[in-house]
Amino acid sequence: MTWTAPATETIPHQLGIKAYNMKASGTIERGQAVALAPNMDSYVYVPNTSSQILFGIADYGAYHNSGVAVWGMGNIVYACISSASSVAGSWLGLTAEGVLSEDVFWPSSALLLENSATAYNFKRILLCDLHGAGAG
Amino acid sequence: MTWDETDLASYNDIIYQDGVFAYNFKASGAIKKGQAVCAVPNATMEVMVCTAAAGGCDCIGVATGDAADNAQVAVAGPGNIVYACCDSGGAGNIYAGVPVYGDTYGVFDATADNAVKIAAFAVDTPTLVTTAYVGKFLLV
Repeated sequence: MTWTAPATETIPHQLGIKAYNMKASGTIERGQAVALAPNMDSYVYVPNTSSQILFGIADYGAYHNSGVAVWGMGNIVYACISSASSVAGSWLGLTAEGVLSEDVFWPSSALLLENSATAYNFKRILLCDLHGAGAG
Repeated sequence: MTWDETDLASYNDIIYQDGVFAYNFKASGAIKKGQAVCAVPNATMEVMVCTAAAGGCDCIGVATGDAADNAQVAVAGPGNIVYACCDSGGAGNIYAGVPVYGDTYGVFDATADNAVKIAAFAVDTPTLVTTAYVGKFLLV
């Protein structure tokens, strides 16, 4: 797939904590899910493979080496969901292109809060983290 | 155990130490202050009392007040330390550092049903109040 930009809605829905101030490794689009860039100091990137650990959702687009605000755990935000049949309550993990999928069971670090009836649509999720360390 | 709201009646504020703001959800079914809640399948931004029924549920947080069916309810989520009921304490299997899971009646349990994931960590040893144990839990 290729990245599809979010519609008019803003990325944050209900905020719990402030966004993190990070730097972009590579180009990041608004609303993309990002992971920490390995061996870099406070950089995030959009992995091109599945199963990287989700760090958060970018609040706006950023070029390589520029600053980017990332909504992290504790916030309810809009994120792109790959499936057309994911149900509220499903756990989500990070796939390529900054998209979340319930097909990625480990590490799962976001909880879907509404049904996703259309593929690659933006839905509200709760970003959380330590759940992934538990059973299931 | 069953849910007994008298156990938490003396806790005017469920939140012991707040880390982040509470979330605003719609209640599916009546929800009592201090009950652990989870997302309602096939609904939008709705929560219900945790259950151990087949399929399980993954706890989002703890309700900070009572809510009737379809009413708005504030839910303390990850990052907050809250008072909540649990299945056992004292000489039981919940004490500081133990991970707990959302269980039937919205209480925390040290045993995960249906492979649900960790909801919180106990930060003290729960004490028996009326019919249930009440303790402090860090929601994660």
